[in-house]
Amino acid sequence: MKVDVAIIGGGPGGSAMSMFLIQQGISSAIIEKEMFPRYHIGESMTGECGGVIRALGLQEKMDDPDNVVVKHGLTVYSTEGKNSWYVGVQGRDENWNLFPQTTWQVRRDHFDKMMLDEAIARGATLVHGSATKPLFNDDGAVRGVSVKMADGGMLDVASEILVDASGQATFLANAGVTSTKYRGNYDKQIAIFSQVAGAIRDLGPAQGDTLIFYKEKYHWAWFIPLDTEVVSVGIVAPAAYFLGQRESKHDYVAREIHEISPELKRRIPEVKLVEEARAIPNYSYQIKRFTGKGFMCIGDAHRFVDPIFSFGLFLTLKEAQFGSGAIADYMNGANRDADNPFAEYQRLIDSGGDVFEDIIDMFWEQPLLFARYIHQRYPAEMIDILAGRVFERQPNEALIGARNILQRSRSDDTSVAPEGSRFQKMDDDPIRSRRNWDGLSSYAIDNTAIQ
Amino acid sequence: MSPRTSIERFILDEILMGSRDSIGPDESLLASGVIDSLALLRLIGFIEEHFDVVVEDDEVVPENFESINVMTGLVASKQ
Ligand SMILES: Cc1cc2nc3c(=O)[nH]c(=O)nc-3n(C[C@H](O)[C@H](O)[C@H](O)COP(=O)(O)OP(=O)(O)OC[C@H]3O[C@@H](n4cnc5c(N)ncnc54)[C@H](O)[C@@H]3O)c2cc1C
Repeated sequence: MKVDVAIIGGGPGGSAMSMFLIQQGISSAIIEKEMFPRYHIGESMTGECGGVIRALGLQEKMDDPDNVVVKHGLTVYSTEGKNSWYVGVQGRDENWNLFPQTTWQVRRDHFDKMMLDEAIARGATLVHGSATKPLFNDDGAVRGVSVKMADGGMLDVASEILVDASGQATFLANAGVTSTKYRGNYDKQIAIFSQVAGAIRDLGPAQGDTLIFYKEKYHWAWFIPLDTEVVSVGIVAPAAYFLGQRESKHDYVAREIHEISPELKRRIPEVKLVEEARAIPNYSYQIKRFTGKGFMCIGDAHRFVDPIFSFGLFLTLKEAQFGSGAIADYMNGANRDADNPFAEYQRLIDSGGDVFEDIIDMFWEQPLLFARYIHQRYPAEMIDILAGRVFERQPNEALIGARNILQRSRSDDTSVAPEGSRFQKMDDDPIRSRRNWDGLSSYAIDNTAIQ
Repeated sequence: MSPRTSIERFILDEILMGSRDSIGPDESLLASGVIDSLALLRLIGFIEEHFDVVVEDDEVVPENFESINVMTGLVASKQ
């Protein structure tokens, strides 16, 4: 089989990539190993995420009260749940004035299937199977991928460009095509999550909002309404803490819901889990060189920091949009002889990811200053970052302040390690944002340890 | 009013809403939970406005607001 673009993964990133390519007249095949609908975590969207969905012409598909909830903002409850701060979703008009906006919470089984079905309806070819290994030209450029089909056969898919949208499976990184996969700052965290029925919501527009409960550094919970009845609830904490509890995932979630914050307990007086309790450890990582001759990664396939502010879906969709443009340029003859035809895309994407990472690090390292920025110093600039406006008008004042306080420098030169980041060796210079891992430094955990 | 008294009055009236009559100059306010983080932000806003000073980002740490004496020291260092 021969296509212009082969896309590994039919999650939101892969489906969006395919649809953006179709808008530019480029055909693609999506290789997906699972049968949809399938469960996936990552249900809350930022304001700008809604913008990408509108750019795909999918606004009316989101009008589905059984599977989509309108989100107006995010409330973070402080320890003990007595106080909270709220950030409303706000957009920017053509004069860069803020205006109130909304976005969505989605059930991922439903949303991902809608996206994939739509991509296929618009002309994408679905290959139901598992990508097993990349194929190379003599000069080392990627020229496609081998697929083990769901029905057992093998299929080689030849492509001009192979897009890795395989999510946390990080297909091309595992195959050694990209540069090394680094552990991220939140690599020793574990998320355990499920869904509950009958939780107490606020009345009015706030009933669909995301709530975050902050217990202590690196220990928090999310509350994301998925329909009128069901709420997604997750507990995020150091993996060592979870293992130390010696509880099943189910019992752990049920107990934490009542212990993490009195406010969460008030909202879920009786814990009734309506989904299996699941775990994701080690979700934080980054790959620095994630594009090259014949390939490009988008979304979780090259970087994920931390779920606290729901940046994941936005990033994978936005990267699909930017990446499709870079691929269209390439197909039209641009950068044919470049060492890396997608170097510009890669630089842009990392600059946006860096904004998110620095703001997340500030939240954990300097929570008081973070709250001051939101309330007093730079409310509009913080709203911009939390909405996802990280690819324009950055660095803004809030980001510059965050970088100063974190003593972090960022530059376009990817051969230089940004100061104060994990790219410096840990033993010569303890990294600021990793200083407080609560004695976890030698602690390692792998997926198999979590049953 | 001395800086000490103005800060004490603000905490008593605006944060504790009259639930107490006085605060010792060295009484620990944060560790003991008399003031939580959002109240602290209001207090910082008050200090900036009342004394016409700017609290810099690297000074926004709990240690600088632990007691009324520590706060008056911070204000004095800026005037
Ligand atoms: C605990 C947690 C909570 C989160 N909460 C949020 C949130 O509230 N909001 C938010 O925006 N984001 C959240 N995220 C992040 C979000 O889940 C991801 O960023 C998002 O799903 C990435 O989309 P994607 O399309 O890049 O990858 P995915 O959605 O993971 O899709 C990848 C697809 O590739 C397929 N695949 C993988 N390997 C192969 C292969 N070899 N062959 C064929 N197919 C393959 C998989 O089956 C899958 O369908 C959260 C993440 C975590 C860990």
